Order: sequence, then C-alpha cells, then structure tokens
Amino acid sequence: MLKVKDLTAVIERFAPPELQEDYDNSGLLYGDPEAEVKGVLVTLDLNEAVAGEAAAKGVNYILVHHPCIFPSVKRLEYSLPVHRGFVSAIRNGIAVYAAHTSADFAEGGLNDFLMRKLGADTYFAAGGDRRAPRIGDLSEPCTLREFVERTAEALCDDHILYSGDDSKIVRRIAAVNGGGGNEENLMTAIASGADVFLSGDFKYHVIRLAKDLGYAIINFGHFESEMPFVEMMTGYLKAAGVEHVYGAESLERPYN
Amino acid sequence: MNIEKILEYQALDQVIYKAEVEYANSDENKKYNALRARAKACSEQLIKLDHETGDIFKELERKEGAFADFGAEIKSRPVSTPKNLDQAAKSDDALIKLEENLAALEKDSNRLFRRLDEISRESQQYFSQFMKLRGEINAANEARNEKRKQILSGIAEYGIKLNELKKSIDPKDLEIYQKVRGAKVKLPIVVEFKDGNCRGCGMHIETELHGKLQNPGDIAECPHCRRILYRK
Repeated sequence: MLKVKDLTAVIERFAPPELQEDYDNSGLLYGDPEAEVKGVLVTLDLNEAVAGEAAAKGVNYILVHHPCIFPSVKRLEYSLPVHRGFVSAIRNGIAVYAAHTSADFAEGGLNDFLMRKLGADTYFAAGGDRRAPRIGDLSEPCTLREFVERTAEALCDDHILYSGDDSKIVRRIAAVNGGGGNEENLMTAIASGADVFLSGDFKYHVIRLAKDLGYAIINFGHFESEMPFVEMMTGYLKAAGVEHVYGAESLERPYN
Repeated sequence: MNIEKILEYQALDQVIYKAEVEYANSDENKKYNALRARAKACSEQLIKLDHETGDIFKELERKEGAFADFGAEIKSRPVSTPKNLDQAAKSDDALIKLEENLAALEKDSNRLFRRLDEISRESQQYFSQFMKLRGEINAANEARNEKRKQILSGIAEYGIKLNELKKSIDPKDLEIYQKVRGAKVKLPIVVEFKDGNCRGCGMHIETELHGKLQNPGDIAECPHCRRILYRK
C-alpha cells in the first residue's frame, strides 16, 4: 500500500521542490508520512468545499497547486477561507501537498503542458533557464486574431484580453502560465523573437508598454491557464499506478 | 420485481454491454492498459529505490555514530609509554584491532555510498523510461477514446431508448439490477430458474434456494453466479 511519503516522492520526482521560487512553499504542508494513501484529490486551490469533497470521496491526500500557507504566515486565520480549508483537511486527517512553482518549472511541467495546449509541439525555456518563459513554434501558424480564438478554446477561457495587430502572423509564441505578465518576461519574449507573449495578471503599465512597442500580447485568465494542472497531475499520478485519483469538481471559477 | 419490464431493459442493455466488451477487448484499450501496467511497474521500482535510499541513509547515520565512537576511543587511550613488553604488546593488539574495525567500517560505508550512486543512476533510468511511457500513454489514451466514440456512436439510439425505459421501471428493481451489473457479472443477469437450474451458470441450485422462488414474480440470487433468478 502506498504511503504518504511514497506518494510525496512520486510527486517530487516530477516536480522537484528545489526548483521552486524563493517566496514559494511547495512541499508537504501537512500529513503523516507513514499513513497509507486511500486516494488523491488534485486541485488548483484549497478551500472548505474542496476539503469537503476530498472527505466525501474518501481520499486522504490533497495535491494542490497554490500553497495554502506561505513561509511568511505566522498564524492560521479563521477569517481566511484558504486557511479554513487547510484546517478542515487537517481535521479530516487529509495530507496536503502543494506543487506550485516546482510544478510550473518542471520538465514536462505546467509551462510545458501549456505550450502543447497552445499548439506548439517544439518549445524550450528561454536562455535554458527553466524559470524563464517558454518559447515555442506553432505547428500551424495563423493570424493573431485566430490565435486568440484558438487560445480561448484551448483554455476554455472566455475572458481573454489582447493587444496587437489582428492580421499579424503568429509563428513563434512565448508564454508563462499563471501570473507571469510582467515587464521582465515581456522583454524576454521580445528578445527571443516570439511574435506574441501570453500570460496572466498583466499590470496596466506592461500592457501600455507592449502597445507602444507595437508588440502583441495575450492576457489569459490566471485560473484558466493553471487549471490544466489538474489534468496534468491526475494523468501523471494515474500513469504512476496511483489508485483513486480524482480531479476536484467543487472548485469554482473565481469570476462570473 | 416486474420481470417483463426488467427483461425488456436487459435486452437493450445487452447491446450496450456487447459494445463495452468490444471496447474492453479492442487493441486500442489493450495497448493503453499494457502501457499503464509498464508505467506502474516503473513507478513501483522507483518507490522501492526510494525506500532503499531511506534505509541506506539510516545505516549511514549509524556508521557516523560508530566513527564518532572510534574517535572517542582513540582520544581516551593512555598516552604514557608502556612500562613493560607485555603492556606494549597489549597496546599494539588493541591498536591493530581498532585499525581493523575502522577499516571494516570504512569499507562498509564506501559500499553504501557506491550503492547510493547506483540507485541514483537506476532511478534516472526508470524515471526517463516512465516519462517516455507517459507520452505513449497519452497517445494511446487518445486512440482508445477515439475507439470508444466510434463504438458508442453506433449504439447511441439504444442509450436513448434505455434512458426512456428507465422511467417506467420501479427504481428498486433497477437498483437490484444495477448492483449485479456493477459486480461485473456477464449479461444476461436476469435469468429464468427452470428445472431447479440457474439458466445463467447452469448449476443445479434447487436445494440451495431453500424453497424460495415459489411464485411467478419471485426473485432470488443465484448462490453460484450472483445472477437474478426468476420463475415464470
């Protein structure tokens, strides 16, 4: 029977914790390493609904993308849903493992997974740095307008914002999943020769910069670009022979 | 149980069951399952190697303790010159023994370090094999989903009829049927009890039923194959 420590090792082989950013808190946040795993629920975020779903499904291991506590946290706040969800998991004897930037940067991780979803069969990390944007060549180049539609469909995202010339031909793309819409990543994308930079959580001044430079950007949803985490990790764990692996169904989109 | 209705339901369900069997036996599904089995074997090997690594680290901790003990023993040895030959010989013997033990400990520790190197190499091999299989599994999964779609498209009308029929069946009867269906009993699962025999598995079960199934409409579970028996 698989133990919590074994499952943790299986996850960490794919998403080594040493890959994570300094601010991050990827790793086993709670759980008895010697406890037997009854099943796993994979989710993007943890809240009370997700913890309740795990308990209802009879699983005792939650694999979450966004950590529910960070190193700066000094206490668990009852007023915070994410902390209440974490406590609910603890109460139900459910181990919680966060694979955040470790899963983003991993070989075949979320950034790579995203590139394939966006239609780039060949891709690489800019400058060979796994933390940098992925640069990929589309197997079927198209106009920016068509590519925006393709992205919306691939990510099931109907809130996409973009900037650029609709008729521009997109051959090479640069992307960072989640909230990578910053100036540094934009500049890396431009330097890598990508025709468009895709990410989430763009700040206004970055969008303005891209606009004034005449460079195309696509702002997808943080949620939509990271939901593939559930598909990616359930697929990985099932392939590894882990039994009773579920994707969370109770986690709602954060916006209407 | 309304036998007529449930038999009608079963007749439609048998078409779906045949499609399920066709899908389960399809090359696409078999290939997918075979790849998953290989990936699982890789993963199990990796977990085994993880456990061995954990054991080696514990063993190395013990060796570290033993090295510390040797250090303490050496420090505690008297520094004064032996007073006679007998004392000198004893001191030499003790030193030789200490050296031998230390050499054995070093040899054993080196063996463990070599094994750790081997584990690291083996793990890398298994993991890259696993990741390769994972890619193949994804492709095989797409192929089997395509096969499933193809099979299901041919029997879509039966699914619709089955759902329609469901509405006219007592939910309790349906629950009994689904329970046996879920237990992976081969269809048909509602079978006639005739001449003391189960028409599903062919076993003579009259005495085992202890007088059940006296009247038409009565049902009982076949003690051999779990099928639902009815009397006409």
